[in-house]
Amino acid sequence: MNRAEEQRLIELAAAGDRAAAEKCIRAHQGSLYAYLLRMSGRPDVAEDIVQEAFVRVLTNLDRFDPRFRFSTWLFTIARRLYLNAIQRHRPAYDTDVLQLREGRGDAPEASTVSEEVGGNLKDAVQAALLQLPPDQREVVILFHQLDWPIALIAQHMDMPEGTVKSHLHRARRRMRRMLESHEAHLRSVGEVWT
Amino acid sequence: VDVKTKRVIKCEPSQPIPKELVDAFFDRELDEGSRENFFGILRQDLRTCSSVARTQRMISALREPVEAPDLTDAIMGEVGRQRGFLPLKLRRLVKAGRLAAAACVLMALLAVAALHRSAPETFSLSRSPQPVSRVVTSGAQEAAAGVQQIAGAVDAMKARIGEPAAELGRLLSAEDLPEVETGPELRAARVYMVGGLTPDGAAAMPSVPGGSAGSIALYGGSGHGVPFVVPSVVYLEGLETHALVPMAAGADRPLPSWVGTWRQNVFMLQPAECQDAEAKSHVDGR
Repeated sequence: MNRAEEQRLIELAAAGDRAAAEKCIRAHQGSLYAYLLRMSGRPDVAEDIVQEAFVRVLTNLDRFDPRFRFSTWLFTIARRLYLNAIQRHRPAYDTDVLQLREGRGDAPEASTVSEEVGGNLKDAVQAALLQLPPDQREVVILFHQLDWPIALIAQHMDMPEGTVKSHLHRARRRMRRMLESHEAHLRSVGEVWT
Repeated sequence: VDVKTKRVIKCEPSQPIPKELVDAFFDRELDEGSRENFFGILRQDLRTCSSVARTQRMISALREPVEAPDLTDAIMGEVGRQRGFLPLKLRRLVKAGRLAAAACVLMALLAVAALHRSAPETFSLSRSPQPVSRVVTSGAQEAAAGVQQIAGAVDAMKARIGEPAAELGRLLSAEDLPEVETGPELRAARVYMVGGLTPDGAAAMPSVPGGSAGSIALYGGSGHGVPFVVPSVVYLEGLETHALVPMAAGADRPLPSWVGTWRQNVFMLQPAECQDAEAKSHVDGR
């Protein structure tokens, strides 16, 4: 969806056009959900925050500044909601992440990731992503998954572009090392079985 | 060449590829030609080539689409529940209406506060109660009417008191007194029942429960005694002041309102009359 079309939809939705609002949701919910799922590693959290972010945005459309992209506004609100959720549930989240790292989480998604890491690169990447510090994780997701430019990420995360790049480089190296280690582990498992 | 900074990253064929060149590649900062060169030199640096390939696989996995649930209905339902999906114009009207309602409430509160400040009696519950006032007024009117009706009886009573030879009536003992509110000074007084009075307009006189038509109370007190009602005319003696008090009718005891009005309806006996009354008591042997 180009910017002009997006702007037209926002105007229609703000004027009470339900169909336009639904189109806005359908256009952005996938990327927002993917962003939050990658960030949290939990589908339930991602769903809740996607819903809450859209509700807030749609009930405040008259405050939208058309100089910015709708998606930027939406992701900024979602990010704040996610950070608030982390603050509220910090112990539970930390425990989940730790258990994910050790591969013995009780949560269904933790065990699922743990089981599938062996054969699925996608899940291994997700597991590696969850082991990154939150800032590095977010930079990687926004840049490589959502194709945001560095300047926009810097604005979204309220940090200098140089810091964003530094986070990005560190995160990539760290993830690559984790994947190397993971592949080495897979090779050793394979040798045992054969 | 870094497309963004126009910076040239040099790479010697015999040397490992610098990390900054790899980072610039993944940061999408190399122009088309530089990317071709980068791929060319990668073939000569197998270690970096392997690392780049692994990173590229990792990024590809990261870019794989995520299966997202469709939350459109849930979101629209929640928006509708919270505020309703109103058109912008209507929403502005609703907002303006809410503001107007809030302003009205505020104005009303301010008006009440101002009124309370300027005329506090408007909100005062201790204002003189109208129903009691009406009782007092009607009691006074009733008593005044009764006085007019029994004026003749009072005159006859005065005349009898003034006649040394006449008997005042039967002396009542304390037990004979009806159950009325009597103070110590009243109990100490001598009370006479004076009967046989036939005042003018007796038929129109109010009757007292237990008494006969034409009854009046004859009260003597210290000026602050308690009035009471007896079936017939009573004369009180032995106190500083002597008075004939026509009582309000229709009750076996004085109405509270009577206490506040009886003084206006007292036929005060003159000092000479009191002396006559005292003389009369001597005639009765006391």
